Amino acid sequence: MPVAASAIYFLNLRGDVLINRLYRDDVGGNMVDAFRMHIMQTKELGTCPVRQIGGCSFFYMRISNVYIVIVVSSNANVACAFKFVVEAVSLFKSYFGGSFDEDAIRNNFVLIYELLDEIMDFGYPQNLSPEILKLYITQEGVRSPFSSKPSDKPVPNATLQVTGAVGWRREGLVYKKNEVFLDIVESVNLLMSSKGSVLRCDVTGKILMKCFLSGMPDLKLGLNDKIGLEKESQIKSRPIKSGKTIELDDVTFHQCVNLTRFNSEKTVSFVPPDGEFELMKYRITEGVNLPFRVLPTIKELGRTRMEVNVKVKSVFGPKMFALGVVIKVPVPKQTAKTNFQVSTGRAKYNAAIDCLVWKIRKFPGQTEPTMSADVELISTMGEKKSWTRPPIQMEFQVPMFTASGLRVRFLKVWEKSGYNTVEWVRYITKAGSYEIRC
Amino acid sequence: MSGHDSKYFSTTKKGEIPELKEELNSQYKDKRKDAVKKVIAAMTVGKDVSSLFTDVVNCMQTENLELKKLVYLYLINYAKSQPDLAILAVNTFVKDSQDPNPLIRALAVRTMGCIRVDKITEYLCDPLQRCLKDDDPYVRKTAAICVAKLYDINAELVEDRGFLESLKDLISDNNPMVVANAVAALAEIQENSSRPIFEITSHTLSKLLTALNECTEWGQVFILDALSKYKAADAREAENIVERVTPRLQHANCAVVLSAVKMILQQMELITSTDVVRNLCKKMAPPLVTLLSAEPEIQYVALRNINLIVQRRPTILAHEIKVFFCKYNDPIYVKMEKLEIMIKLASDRNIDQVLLEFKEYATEVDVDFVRKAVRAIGRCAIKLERAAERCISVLLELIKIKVNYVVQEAIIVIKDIFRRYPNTYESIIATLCESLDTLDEPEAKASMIWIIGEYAERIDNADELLESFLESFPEEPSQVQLQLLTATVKLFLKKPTEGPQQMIQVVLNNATIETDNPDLRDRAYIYWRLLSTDPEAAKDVVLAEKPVITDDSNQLDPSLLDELLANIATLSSVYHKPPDAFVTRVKTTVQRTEDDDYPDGSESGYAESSSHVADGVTSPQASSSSVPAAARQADPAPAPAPVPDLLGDLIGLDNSAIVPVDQPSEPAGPPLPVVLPASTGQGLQISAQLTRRDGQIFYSLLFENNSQVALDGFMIQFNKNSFGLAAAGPLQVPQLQPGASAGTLLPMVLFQNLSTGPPNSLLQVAVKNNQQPVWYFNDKIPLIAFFTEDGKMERTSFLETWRSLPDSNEVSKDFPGAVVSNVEMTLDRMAASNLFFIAKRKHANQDVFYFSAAIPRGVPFLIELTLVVGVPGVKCAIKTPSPEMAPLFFEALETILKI
Amino acid sequence: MGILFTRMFSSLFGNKEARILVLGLDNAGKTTILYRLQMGEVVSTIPTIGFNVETVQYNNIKFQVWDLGGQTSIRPYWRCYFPNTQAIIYVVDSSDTDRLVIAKEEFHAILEEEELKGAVVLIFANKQDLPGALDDAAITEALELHKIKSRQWAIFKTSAIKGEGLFEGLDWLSNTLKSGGG
Repeated sequence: MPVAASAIYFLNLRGDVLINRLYRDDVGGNMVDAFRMHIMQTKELGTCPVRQIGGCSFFYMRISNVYIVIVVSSNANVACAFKFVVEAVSLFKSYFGGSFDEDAIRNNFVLIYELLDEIMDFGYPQNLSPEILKLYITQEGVRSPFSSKPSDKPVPNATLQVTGAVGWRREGLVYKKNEVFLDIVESVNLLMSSKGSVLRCDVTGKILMKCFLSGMPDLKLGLNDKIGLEKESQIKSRPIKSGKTIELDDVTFHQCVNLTRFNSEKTVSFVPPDGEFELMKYRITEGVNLPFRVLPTIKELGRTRMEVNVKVKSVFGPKMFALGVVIKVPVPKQTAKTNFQVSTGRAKYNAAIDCLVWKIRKFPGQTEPTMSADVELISTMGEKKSWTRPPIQMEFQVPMFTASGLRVRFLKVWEKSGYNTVEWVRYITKAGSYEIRC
Repeated sequence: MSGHDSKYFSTTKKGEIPELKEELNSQYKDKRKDAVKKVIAAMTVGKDVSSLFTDVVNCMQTENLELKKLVYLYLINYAKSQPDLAILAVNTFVKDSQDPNPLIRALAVRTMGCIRVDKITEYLCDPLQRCLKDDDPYVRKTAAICVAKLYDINAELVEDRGFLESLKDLISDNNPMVVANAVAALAEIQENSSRPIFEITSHTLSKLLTALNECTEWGQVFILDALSKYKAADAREAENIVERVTPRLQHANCAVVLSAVKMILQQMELITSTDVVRNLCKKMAPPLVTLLSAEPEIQYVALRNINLIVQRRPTILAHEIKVFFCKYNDPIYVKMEKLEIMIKLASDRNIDQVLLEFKEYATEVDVDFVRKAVRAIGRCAIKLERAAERCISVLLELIKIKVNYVVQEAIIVIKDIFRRYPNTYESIIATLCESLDTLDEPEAKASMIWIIGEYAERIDNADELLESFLESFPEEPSQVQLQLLTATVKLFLKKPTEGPQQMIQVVLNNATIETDNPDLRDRAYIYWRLLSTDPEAAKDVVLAEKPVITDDSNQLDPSLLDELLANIATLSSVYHKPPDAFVTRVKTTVQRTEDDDYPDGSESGYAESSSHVADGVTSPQASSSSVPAAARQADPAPAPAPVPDLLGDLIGLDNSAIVPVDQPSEPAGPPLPVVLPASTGQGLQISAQLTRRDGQIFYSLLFENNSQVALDGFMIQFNKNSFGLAAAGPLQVPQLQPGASAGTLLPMVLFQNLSTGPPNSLLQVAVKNNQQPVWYFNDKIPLIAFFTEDGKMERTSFLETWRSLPDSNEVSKDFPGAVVSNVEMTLDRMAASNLFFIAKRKHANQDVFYFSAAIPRGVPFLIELTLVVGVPGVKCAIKTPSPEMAPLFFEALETILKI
Repeated sequence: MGILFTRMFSSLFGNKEARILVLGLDNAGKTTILYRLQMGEVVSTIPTIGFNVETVQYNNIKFQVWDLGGQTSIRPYWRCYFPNTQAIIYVVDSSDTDRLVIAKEEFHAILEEEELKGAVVLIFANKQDLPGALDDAAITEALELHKIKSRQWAIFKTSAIKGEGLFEGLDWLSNTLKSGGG
């Protein structure tokens, strides 16, 4: 059965209860002690997010300095439970203005209890859409949509909207200027061997939307993906010119997208929520444009010296540039002294993470700066085991660049009042887990 | 945007409850509302605020929705602790269920269903009936779930009042959320009923598939989970269903995706067309891979499920092995699962790449992960014959790094590789032998010894190698001893020269006369007999060809796999256990005991008393019934039949000396010893002792507050200990004003958090409260508290037990200072501690007394006391299957005799 | 009682509410009286399992009126509501002659309560519209009201259905409370 929780607890890192809500009678109130004693206070913490203690199972996630713990005694749907926690946290964040930590919870515990009562009933998740919940669960809590008192702002149909087919958008929105902002955000994940061959590489992208549209608009999004284009040319029975096409491995959509229609026609059509939301996620493994190549040479000279040389090549267009580039080169714990030479940016040794950290604020395309470092090590007696080298890690952002080559071809907006819409599109590629073994 | 509720957590020091009571009854609405918030804050941190019940309930009739919700929340938590007073809330609930505001109607019926008090349930039916037919879908969707709640409280009532029919009507509701909740409720009711209640016909199926398109993401999960139980009539229907479910694979919600996968896999079993199946496999791969970019916890759930899926449909992810390569920063639980899947997906095509990965992992930091990586290489070798050689060369490379645990793990897997491919890779034995002296783990040692024995004829210095182990034979763990024994026999059979012959004598001697391990002794005797009677037969037995092994580790039995696949996304699929194995379906009306109900046994059990911990009303006796109450008074042991011959045979009993002894009365308890002096505890003094009362172990505690502030929120915790003592319930200590003290009896349970190692009497305790740091102190566990009331033996069984126990289980000790001057008083005291008198005899001028006792899990102690009345010096001998307990027993005895 | 004290009381009642309990056996008409007083109309009622609380404004006094269920099972919990009560309205079904003895016993039990020592008592001889209803004198007799000592009290003939007698009773109550009789 799709029950996701019998009880839910929010604990701080010490194990104090910040919030507890029992949804079912099948777990006792002292279950939180079991969690503290058998997971929090042992090395079990962090070894597995699903644990059985006695007759109960615990699922837990850490979010900033808070543990959210779900307890069940039945064969619950774990996927549902974790997703519920993720969604609930983003709901709370949207209520608290972006933060979710111990202080935010203490300062809003009444509101949290109110929301917990609304978003889950008897362990079954209900509507968690912030847009709709904010209609009738307010910070002040006094506003009742059905009150006849003139001082209250009436919000008609709140209950119909919670349960409605378009449970994510309220009716009657009006904007003077109708605008849509599209952000295509890609993360490149790379694992490269020390010899420079790509072991694993993929791009996970998401399309974030900010909608300021009046009424109940129908939107349709066109991308330069191969299957979508083929389908389109089939329907229009003529070829569509589009330059480069790409192949999406997989796409997932916000619940507003009509999946059945996507399945049959390959078009992304939807009635968007108001404001900001994540429209879709996609993944690409073929034909990825890697923005950077890293060429490290690390020499261990005896047991007390190391020579590190790293060259980083930017392989995007010469007119573009990357921002916030950080290259972290791991060095042994017993590093004593370092000497750097960099052709650009700044480098230093960070003992807290055992890395040489090379930062380049602005990194133009088609350049290849280098860093070389001399590392002196404290010679240790006992350590017979050779140093295991963690991979070099890289962070960056490249605006107006997509590693996948994805482009938005069109975004059409229909609304019965027929207003004009202005659409804005931005692209950015960031480093996901960008690792080069050395 | 942020609130300021944290102020409600800060409370005034003195008289919190009366103060709150006053505020709750304030004339001013705002003050009342603030007071209710403070009550909820106190409830959250675990304070008992149940005494404010009527005061809170009286705030219930309010126009302020926020306040009303808080009162309702309070009721959900405390109604059960105040079942009589709960009736005062009924009128408000009934009124609210007819409020013009649908939010309030729904709130009332939702909350009423959470209150498990018969008197309230009685009044729930009429409002529920109305709400199921409410005009507003929000109220109907809430009422639908409420039927499931009511069924959980009183199934009969649901059936009698026709709620099931109303619920089924809601499946045809025009609102998708109502439909989804009705489906969830019906599916749950069906699961708890043996009668067919919710049968999915092809008609409902098609209706629900249509509803899928419109409901919320969670509603889709409810519907897909319910429909996954549907058995399609034929391949065509199955294909139709699958076609309508596949679009769900593109949903952003991982739970929707996994439930869709579950349903597709179920239907695929019926589909015969290979094209369709291939196509479906192709469609399922990308969404499964996408799950791996979710939060690590969700990745973990996905990976556990993928593990199952690839066992049934290996083709789905056959080409996706790269996505399971571990990222350096993946949490360890994700890495371990990825590794498992990599082994499953490894093939001749990708093995080179996979081996490079494994080799990389074998140099990482986390020891468990490294070991698993090494083992993975071995498993690939066993699985893929053509790649075995490459796997072995990687293992040899790793052995050369000479990291101790890598070497040991490698040797363990190499042993399995030898078993899989006999007579193929023995050339590497020489390399393995180089690492011989670094082995310190039993499994690795045993594996190495097995290899030496198995290939003794090809290892020139096999006898020297084995001999090096023999010196430490008595100290080795039994696993190693057994392998040494067998390997030496093999060596002797293969090379019956002088050296091995001497070795075998040493080993056989060690493994028979010098050992207490029956397994080892039995095996040694068998070898011995074989070797001495028929060496050829010994060869046939010991050197017989061994069956070739396959890599079936972590492969599930097909029928179990079926069951697990039907449970995709649920706990069952994460544990890889069928639901029955971990769900104890106990009706909530039945009082549970925590004794042996726990599926895993190893984990600690908790008293699942159905009441909320903060209730503070469960008395210690009621909340813990783990140790069966003594039947001492109620059920006197039958008069023992005299068996003088037997008893006399053994211990030369003087018949006339059999003296029956009456049961004595309980002695009054002395003051408790101080375990935390006030000087250490910033004014808090704790005295404590473990005691036994009415067949139950309690930790008797006295808290004295000599500090300047009131102390509250006391909690207690016990570290792992030899007896696995743990609290059976929460510590019940009220707020302590300065100068006040409070005593409590904390019921204890055994075998909860056992420490390893030889038993000792150390009990480490931590006590905390809301005002002070955590206090740690050590206490001594007196074995006296463990002697059970059923430890009395009949003389016959006493004799039998005495005989059956080997002499090595006898331990004795002298108590030179102890004097028994009044036999009767001593016997009384012994009996009061559950040391039961069996018999007495005279031996020269000495008196010899026999007693029996037992500690939990039926471990008996047979006791012999030898003494001269009035003369200092008592000799005590005991026999028990657990002689390691003897020191603790003597301590206990000393306490009893000293008085 | 001095002028100062009186003024204090009325000013006290200016923003605070007077706490009134409506008590009586089940089916005496308590809930009907409450809503007649509050909304001026007759509402259909069901037995009150628990309580109703409403604010009634009359003669410049805000009454916080607690109508408590009269079932045998609920009566033991009346005492939870006694503290800080200024007045009790005791409602009797004048036509239910069989249970007048019980009504009397419950009434006198209330008067014995320490926490209600200071409360004034208003008795409504309700259901005067029904045939066979006893009048106020008969009810006074049946409830043995003459035994009341050192407490201000009054009895009114009422019919909640018709709306008769209720506000006369409330007039008496507000005057008594204003003059510091509570």
